[in-house]
Amino acid sequence: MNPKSERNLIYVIVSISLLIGSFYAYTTKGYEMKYLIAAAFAFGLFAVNIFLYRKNVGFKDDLLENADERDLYIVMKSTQSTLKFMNNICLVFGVFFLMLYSITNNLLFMIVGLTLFALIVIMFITLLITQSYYEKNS
Amino acid sequence: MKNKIREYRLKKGMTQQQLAEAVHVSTRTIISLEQGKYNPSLMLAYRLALVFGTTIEDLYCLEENMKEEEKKYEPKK
Repeated sequence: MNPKSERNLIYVIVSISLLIGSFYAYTTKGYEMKYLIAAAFAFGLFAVNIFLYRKNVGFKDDLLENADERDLYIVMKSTQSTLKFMNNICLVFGVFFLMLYSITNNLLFMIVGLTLFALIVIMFITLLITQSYYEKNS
Repeated sequence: MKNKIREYRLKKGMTQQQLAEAVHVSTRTIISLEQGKYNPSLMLAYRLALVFGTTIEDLYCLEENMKEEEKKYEPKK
């Protein structure tokens, strides 16, 4: 078994575990809708992974094998735009939830707001690390 | 960036598909190059120049494009 197959097999096993876990939660915790939705997502993940395992490729390998330099440039630009967009979304919703907390005094809003700000900080630190890496290696 | 890819391709009687296959990229990339929306890597520019039997300088009107770019660096009055 080559490393690609091993990796895909691990993904299949993880997605089966998620599927079983979601079904178990659905049947034992009072047939709640959220567990059924989780099971549907897990099934989707399982289907994709079993397909990739049989085909013996990963998404990234598949993309790289069929991509020319412009495709890679587009992937890079769209990833950059997505990151910027997510950063702005986190900032706007973070402020929004903290404002909601100040109005309603509901602790849940503060937790959500702070989680979003923590995400911004993590993204910023990751950006600094990757920038420093590419500054040295490009 | 302004270039002569379309001009050279038509002169050679090649389709975009044929040119794409010759330089190992997709047809979409050739369309984008001809429209000047995408600037190729040095190696792709060299491959294109070889296919057309010319130089990168000529294919990409480098002298003309550089003059245009120099304007950006001129001190503002």
